[in-house]
Amino acid sequence: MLAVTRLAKRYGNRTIFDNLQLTLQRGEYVAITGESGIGKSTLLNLLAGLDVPDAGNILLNGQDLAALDDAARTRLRRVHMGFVFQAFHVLPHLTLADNVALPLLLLKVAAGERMQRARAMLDAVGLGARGGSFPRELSGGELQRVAVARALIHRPRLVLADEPTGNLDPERAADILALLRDAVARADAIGILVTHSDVAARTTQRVLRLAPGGLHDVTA
Amino acid sequence: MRRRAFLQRALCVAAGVGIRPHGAQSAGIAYAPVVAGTTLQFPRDHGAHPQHRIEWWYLTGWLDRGSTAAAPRCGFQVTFFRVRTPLADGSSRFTPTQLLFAHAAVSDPRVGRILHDERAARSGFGLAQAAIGDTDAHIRDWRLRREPSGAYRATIQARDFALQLDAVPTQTLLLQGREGFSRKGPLQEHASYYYSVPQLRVSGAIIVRGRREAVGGSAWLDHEWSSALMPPQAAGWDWLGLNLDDGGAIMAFRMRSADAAAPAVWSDARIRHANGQFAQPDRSALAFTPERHWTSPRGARYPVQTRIALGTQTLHLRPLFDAQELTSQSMGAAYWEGAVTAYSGDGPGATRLGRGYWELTGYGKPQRL
Amino acid sequence: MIAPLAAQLDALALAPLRARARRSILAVLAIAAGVALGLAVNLVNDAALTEMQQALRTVSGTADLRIEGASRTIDEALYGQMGQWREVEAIAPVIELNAALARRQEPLKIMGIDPLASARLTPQLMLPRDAQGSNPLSLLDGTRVAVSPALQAWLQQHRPPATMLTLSLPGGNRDLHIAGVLSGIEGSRQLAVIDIAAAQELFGLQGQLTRLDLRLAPGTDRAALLRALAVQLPPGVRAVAPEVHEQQAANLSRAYRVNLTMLAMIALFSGSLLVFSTQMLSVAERAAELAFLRVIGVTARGSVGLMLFEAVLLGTAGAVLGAVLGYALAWSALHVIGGDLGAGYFEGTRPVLTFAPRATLLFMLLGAGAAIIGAWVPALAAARAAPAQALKTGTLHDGAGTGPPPLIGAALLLGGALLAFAPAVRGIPVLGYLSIASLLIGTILLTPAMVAALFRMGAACASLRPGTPATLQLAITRLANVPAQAGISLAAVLAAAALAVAMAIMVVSFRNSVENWLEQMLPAPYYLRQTSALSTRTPGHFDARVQAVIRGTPGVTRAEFVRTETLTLDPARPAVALIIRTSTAADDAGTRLPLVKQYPATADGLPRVWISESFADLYRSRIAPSTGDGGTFELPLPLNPNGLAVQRVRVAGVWRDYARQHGAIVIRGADFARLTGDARLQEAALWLGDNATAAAVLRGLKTRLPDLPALEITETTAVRARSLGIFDRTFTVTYALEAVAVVIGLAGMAAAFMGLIVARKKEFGMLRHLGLTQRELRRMVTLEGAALAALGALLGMVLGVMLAAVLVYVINPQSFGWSMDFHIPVLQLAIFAAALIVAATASSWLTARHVLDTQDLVRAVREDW
Repeated sequence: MLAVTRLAKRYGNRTIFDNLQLTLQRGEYVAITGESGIGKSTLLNLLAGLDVPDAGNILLNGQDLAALDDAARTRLRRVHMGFVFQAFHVLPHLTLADNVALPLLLLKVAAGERMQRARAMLDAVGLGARGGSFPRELSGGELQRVAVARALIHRPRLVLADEPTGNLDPERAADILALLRDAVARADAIGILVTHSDVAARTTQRVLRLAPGGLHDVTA
Repeated sequence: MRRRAFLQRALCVAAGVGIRPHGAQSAGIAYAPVVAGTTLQFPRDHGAHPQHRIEWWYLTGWLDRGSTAAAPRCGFQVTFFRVRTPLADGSSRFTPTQLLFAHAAVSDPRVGRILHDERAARSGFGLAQAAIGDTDAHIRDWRLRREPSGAYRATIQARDFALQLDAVPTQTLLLQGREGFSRKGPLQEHASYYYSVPQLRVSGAIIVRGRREAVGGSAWLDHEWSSALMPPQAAGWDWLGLNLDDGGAIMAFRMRSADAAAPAVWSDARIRHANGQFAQPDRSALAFTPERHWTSPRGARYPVQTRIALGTQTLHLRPLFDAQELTSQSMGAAYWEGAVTAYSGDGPGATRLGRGYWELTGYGKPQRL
Repeated sequence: MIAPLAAQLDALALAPLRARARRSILAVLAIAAGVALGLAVNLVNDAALTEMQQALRTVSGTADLRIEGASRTIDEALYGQMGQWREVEAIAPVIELNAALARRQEPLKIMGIDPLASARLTPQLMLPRDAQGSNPLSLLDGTRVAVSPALQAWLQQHRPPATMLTLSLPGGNRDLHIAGVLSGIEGSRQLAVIDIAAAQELFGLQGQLTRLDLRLAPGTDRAALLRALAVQLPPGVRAVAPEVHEQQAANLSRAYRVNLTMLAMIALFSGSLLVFSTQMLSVAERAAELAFLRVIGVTARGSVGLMLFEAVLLGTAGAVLGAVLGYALAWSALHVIGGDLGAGYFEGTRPVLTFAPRATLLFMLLGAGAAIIGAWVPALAAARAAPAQALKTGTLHDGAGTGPPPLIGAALLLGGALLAFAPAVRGIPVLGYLSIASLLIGTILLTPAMVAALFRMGAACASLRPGTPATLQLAITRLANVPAQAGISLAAVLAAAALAVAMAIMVVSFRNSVENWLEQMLPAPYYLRQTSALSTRTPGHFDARVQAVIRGTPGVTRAEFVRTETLTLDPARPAVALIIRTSTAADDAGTRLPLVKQYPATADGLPRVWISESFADLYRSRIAPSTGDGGTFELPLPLNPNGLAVQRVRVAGVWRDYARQHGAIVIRGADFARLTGDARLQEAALWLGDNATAAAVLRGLKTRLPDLPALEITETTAVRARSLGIFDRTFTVTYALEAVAVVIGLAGMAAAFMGLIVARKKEFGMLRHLGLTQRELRRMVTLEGAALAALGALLGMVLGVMLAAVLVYVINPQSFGWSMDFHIPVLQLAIFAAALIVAATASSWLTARHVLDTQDLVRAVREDW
């Protein structure tokens, strides 16, 4: 369970948000939308433990991110979180399988198991035959599939996707969104999709809009 | 007598201040004295006298270039000096006991300034020598030699010119002073052996700036040797050797005092008429009066035009042109040695008496060359 | 028009350079270092040569021709004979020698001249007239001496009030009055001039001259005259044009200059590599920027131009800076080390640095050229990048791909190896240097392939081994898969390490060989010689009687004698040394030499000689070959006091000689005495009994030889130490050059590495997201750096050994005519490699910390490019 209470963050004099509340259960898949500059990225960084709030708590599985040091937050992220980025960020010098297995490598999973699970994951995203390929041989949509596989291979509790379709055409975008939704569901994780796109937002169970006052449920 | 400011310097330099005996072989040497009453013997005394400290052979004269009226006459000078240093013979054949210097000059009005060159060497190795027995001095291919016939032959290959001249005597030689004993100062020891051969008939060729021309003319030869020449109070001398148009010859000199205002330290003259009779003007009647000076580029002020009173006769000397100063690298001295014409007066109606050479030494400051 | 253009320039070229200031500065510095080194070496050498030529002109003046002895003095009668030649306008006899001064170690050059004859040929040796009455003729009295300003200064410092010059002569000291200073002799040349008669008498050279200086009459055909003289001069006497001596001086140091210039060129090559890596990374970093420029209408050619223009800016800055540094370096080198850069070719001169526009321009152009060459490939890469693909942010930049095809590198390596077997071109091992260049470039081109192979293997091992830290695995995997980038950052450090290792091996090999050679050349513990007034380099002679006395002196268990003469076999070359050695056993003279070749004895009765390697090399054409032995040649043996006897001799062996670069011949004392009737020798090698001391033996010798007062015993260890000291001094400069090259290499690697890390910040941001701590990231980056450095050091070592082999077996024999034993200083190289890796690791760590902690990695992840 993810429970965010009375979260506050300001940069200098500028208050990004003050007293933000959010509670999500396993299996929930929500979208967060909002205007540019409203603080979506800041919220994402706080949820990922890459930044610390000025006040409030972020409880993931009962652990308060705000109370942990950077190393502990990093370990928490390594074990419990998965990420999908707009720019894919697939390492060019690793094979697809290695890219997908990267979280397992960091978790010191043995090589054999790593490869087995990576192949399974690639299968699941429809790239089962291409584990040995390098990213330069793939299209953008395919790369994002790899990224999705990487985000979920270590069975995280929380999957954070930041505009995962920003660089894709609508057709591929729809593909990826469906893939992501299904994957989050299959993993029984909490999924948060940060996006500008209403189309994308509509693929989630619930749409939350970030505004100066806080998060508002705007699910149509 | 003869010569010359630069010689005077050469003597100082080579025989006096400059050369001291080798430490190892000091001993010094005794120079032969000049003794009054000595009878000169020829041809032996045409040759070198290595026991004397200094010696020179001086051939000067006027040359005309054949029938070409357009070509003006020019003057020439060929001189060989011998200096006996105070050094005793050493184990090295290079030990500089005898030094030889040679100067040659041509005064060509078409050039407008004197052309001159010099050679210097220590005697030896067959490259430089002043022979005993008869006149034969050479430094490499520069040579002045008296042939068995009595004619002098001068061969000079200089930087800007060349001379190949034969000078044949037409008269007997002229013993200067008292039978060749020529006093140079108030004291008896300042004297030289000195004779001249005036009225030499010259034939041969000169090359000036690459152009070879056959020449004729008249010349004067001096041969003088001594061991003690200059009275210490003398600053330099003025000397004249003149071949008179009528066949006579005049030699006159004065030793100037270092004090320009003071009278000459010594002066003397000797006149031989065409008929062979001598005239010896009284020394008190001799007067040298500068009429015009010329200042050389080096700053020496020479009385290039001078009136010489010889008692019964007065000579008005006019230079061929003014720029007849010679500078000697090897001796570090400058002097004026120029072709002059002597006239009976200084007006336009004056008669020419003869041609000769006028030498002015000791006028400049010691030269730094 | 100017303002917009300037703005455009600023936006397109200067701003990017500024943004990568650190790397740009390093590239500029590397170029500057190469330019500075090359320029400095040439300036110093030119200054030294000019000084040498001036010195030669001081003593030979404006002579058109010299007549001199091939091995010794000439008969003074030649003066008279030559003076008669019509072609000779002026002639001057000269005695030139090195004399010993009382209480002074270094010899002094003394010129004995005839001031009357030399006035026209060497006016600068004429004493000026001064107020004290000195004039050119003052020297004639034989008690006076004219001194050069430098000697006057020395005397004022060491022998105040400097009115006397005291010569040390066999008969005792002799004072000469200083008559004046030869103000026409410029510079640091110490020289004294005396009259030639005094020179003959003081030094016992009656009847002899060192040479005649001749001025020829205008219009003389000098070549024809030289031919005529060659026939007419007596044996052992030759006529030479003074330029020959200047040419010899130039040739002497040419090989040395070429060697040092090559080092500078390698530094410049490192600079070029740095520009390459700078621009290559720049292309990678600015892919989007360049793509954007392309999109808004800059043509492909335009973007090439832009990149090249940036390189020109870097190169020009480096060239200007390098030129300034070069002059500064040359100036300090001349003041601190001397004109030969420590090599000892120009002893006794103090050269003056002058502005050399041509050399300056040449090296500046080389610097700018190096930058342009370095930028060429990156510029083309920039142009090739398709704008659309570059704009699409599908992948993180993938560097330079897999790099050049390894075939080219392999071909260059092979070509380099083959070139090493090519002979020298006009005395300079041009092809040897080409071989070095090929090996270097070939290795660098092969680096990506090697990196890939090596780290792929490493990656396989790492992934198979459980428990390998993720950071290490990531580091290795990355290196294995991005070899070209690794190659770029490696190239500079590899080149520098290879250069340093090659030079180190060469120098150590050389030094070891010299040490062994000294052992063999100076086997006895003591050496006895008679210091001579004539020259401290030419000791006085020991005749047969003295030799017997020395052998019979108590305490002496064994004595052998040596004498050295100089011989001119070829007027165009410097004289060779003729070493006359006694021997006890029948054929002993050769066996005690450091022989590299030995031929069996033949029964033809010809005297046997042992020639040095350089002699064998230089005079190969004179030696008539015969099968199974070393061949024969005609040797002109010097007769006493002058003249030559030509004798055919047989080569019995070839020996190694580091002392006489122009060749040396060893002949047995008995043979020499038989052929010339001259049994005199110079130096005695002494072995003393157990109880004898050198001092006691010397006392005994002096009592027994009262006519030889100037005997002196030298301990061999001191000689060896001094020789090695000179050797070490010679190579000081090469060490300095190596250090500079290594520092540039390391800095280059750090710069390239930093660029790579900055370029990879998105990757690091992503890894932070994925759960890598900052420390782990740092460790990963440092590991990458260390692995690269280790590989660079390793490859540098391997390449260095190859280059060293070329230096030792090709360059040195071809440049100097001597061989040496290959010797790898394993321990030093290991320490050097370790230090290199530690330094590189430390710099990677610092770089990693600096970049990772200052860059906003998290935000980088969201950047579109």
